[in-house]
Amino acid sequence: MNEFLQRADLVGLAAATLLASTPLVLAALGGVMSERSGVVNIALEGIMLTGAFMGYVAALATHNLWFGVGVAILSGALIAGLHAVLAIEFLVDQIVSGTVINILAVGITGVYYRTFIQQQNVAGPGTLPVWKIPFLANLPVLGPIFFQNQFVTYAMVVLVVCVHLLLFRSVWGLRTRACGEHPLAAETAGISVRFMRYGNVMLSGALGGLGGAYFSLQQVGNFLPNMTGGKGFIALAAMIFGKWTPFGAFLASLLFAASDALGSRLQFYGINIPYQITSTLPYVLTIIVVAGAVGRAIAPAAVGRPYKKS
Amino acid sequence: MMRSVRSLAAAAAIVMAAVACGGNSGTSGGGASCSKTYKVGLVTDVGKLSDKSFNATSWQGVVDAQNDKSLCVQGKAIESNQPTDYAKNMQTFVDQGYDMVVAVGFLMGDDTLAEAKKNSGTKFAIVDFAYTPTQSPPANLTGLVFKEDQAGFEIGALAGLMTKTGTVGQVLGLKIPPVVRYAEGYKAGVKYTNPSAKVLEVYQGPGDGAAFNNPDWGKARAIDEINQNADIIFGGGGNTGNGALLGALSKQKACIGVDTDQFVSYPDADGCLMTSAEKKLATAVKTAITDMVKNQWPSSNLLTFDAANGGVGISSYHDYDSKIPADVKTKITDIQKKLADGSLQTGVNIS
Repeated sequence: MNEFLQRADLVGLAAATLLASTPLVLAALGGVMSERSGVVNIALEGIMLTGAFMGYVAALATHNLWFGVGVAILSGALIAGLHAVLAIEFLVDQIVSGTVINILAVGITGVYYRTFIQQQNVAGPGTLPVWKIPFLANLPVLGPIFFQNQFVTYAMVVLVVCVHLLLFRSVWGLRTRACGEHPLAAETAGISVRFMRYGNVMLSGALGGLGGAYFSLQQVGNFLPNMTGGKGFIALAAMIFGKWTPFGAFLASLLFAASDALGSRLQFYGINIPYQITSTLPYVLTIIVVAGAVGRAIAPAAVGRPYKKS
Repeated sequence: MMRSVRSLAAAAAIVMAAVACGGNSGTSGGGASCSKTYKVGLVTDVGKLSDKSFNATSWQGVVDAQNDKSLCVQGKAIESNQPTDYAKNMQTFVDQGYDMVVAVGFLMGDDTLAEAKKNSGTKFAIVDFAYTPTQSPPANLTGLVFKEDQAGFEIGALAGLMTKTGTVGQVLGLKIPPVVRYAEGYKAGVKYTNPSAKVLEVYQGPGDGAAFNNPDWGKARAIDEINQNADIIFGGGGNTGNGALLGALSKQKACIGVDTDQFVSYPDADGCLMTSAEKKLATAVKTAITDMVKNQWPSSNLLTFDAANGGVGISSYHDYDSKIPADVKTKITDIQKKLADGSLQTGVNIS
């Protein structure tokens, strides 16, 4: 039994899960904020990719990873701003404008990567340092899981709480939700739907941009074409599974990340399932979730519907 | 309604623009005193030129041929974004009158065979693929294959001698023959020098993100193996393997690179790199190009590169040199000699 536990390495599995959940949670939180205000944001994949790229470029140019993180967040907010302009000013179908941004991000980052970055064989800017929280890091079990992480992962955990408080315990949150449920009523009550939607979509982009920094600045210290690899879409499934709440999205992301971490580990647990099957676990789970097998998820009533002040 | 039609059109336009920008190319060369310039086109697999190992080194072979003015070669590369581009990209070179097309990688085996059969006037060389007689490869097609198991055996032997925990790990790309040869050779090498040692291994599955291109995944898997007590990690799979090197670096364990001397090609991992299992892709590609130019195209549809002809081996120890005891180095040199003269076999036979 003891040998089994040591081989199973549950603490390591939990740590790997929290780490792998980081971009999912950040993007899912972004999705929650945007959709609660009434704007569908399927652009999160492209927003993360943009953040990963811009953050890396900034870090490479200045040799300062923290500057890179800042640029990642800012660029995420800016490209989300484009989504907001298309969706709010021009009343473009939000699915279409989100798709435009996803494709645009793949194309532009790929091209600039090839023209400017790929050629050089210099060492990259490195990765964000591991911060061991004094005392807490040495706790058994909890220490290695929670208190020996890097910045983006710590920030993710804190942001889950912040977004929850913002949405459900603040005036901003009340107004946001009003815009997502019944924009006409909100407008009648004197809330600027336009302003609230811009604000939330751009905050959503900032969260996505930070999620992008996870890839290029925290994990890999490099940028690669399309390195977000569909995580932005899995995050949307997590958002739905989590019923558009920050804690729900967090738990759902953990589930997806755990299935990811576990799938690969089955290979050296010596369990005889073809690894081609286990590696598809997160996707199978996503399909089950999106197909609604886990109870009905109710979206904000006005999500995806352009609102025009009349 | 009108609006969404318009935005769909805008979306479509952007897709086209992105696709048009998707391929990338490098070109130059051709000496002044050449009566005929041989045009050589290289098509990458989805690993792309940015992998700092496999595709990058194969392209280096074209560049080397180009720089060798006596060959009069002019080279160009197209990067493939997805497997469905392989045939199309090869055909692009054929249509532009190229003398030779180099296909990089096992994954392009079927497409290259079909293209070679269709275009008998163009020479085709494919890295990492050996055709069987039943596939009836045409005369204008040759595979360039390596005995990766010998390079894997050498790094495995080194890992077996250097491990303190008695456990070593490997994080691999897709389970295709060249990768499996490395992996099985590695295991055989570990067992050869350290019969009681344990080897952990993980292959990238089809659901684990971009093939050979998911360093985030590779890093997490290296850390998994380190949590299971491994103290040396072999990263064998393009950018995915590079991630594994980073994982070892972050946990202050030793790491071993693949395909090329990664101390040079991937300085990010220099802090943990013991050596790299090399296959001399550049040499192989240049050899095939030279054969084409000099009209000595192999009749057997195959060029094999192994320890005996210097086609596979291990890189210099670089910064790790001082941490490797002299007797270990002696043993490794001895193993290299025996593999080269055939008195030691890896026991791996995968094609």
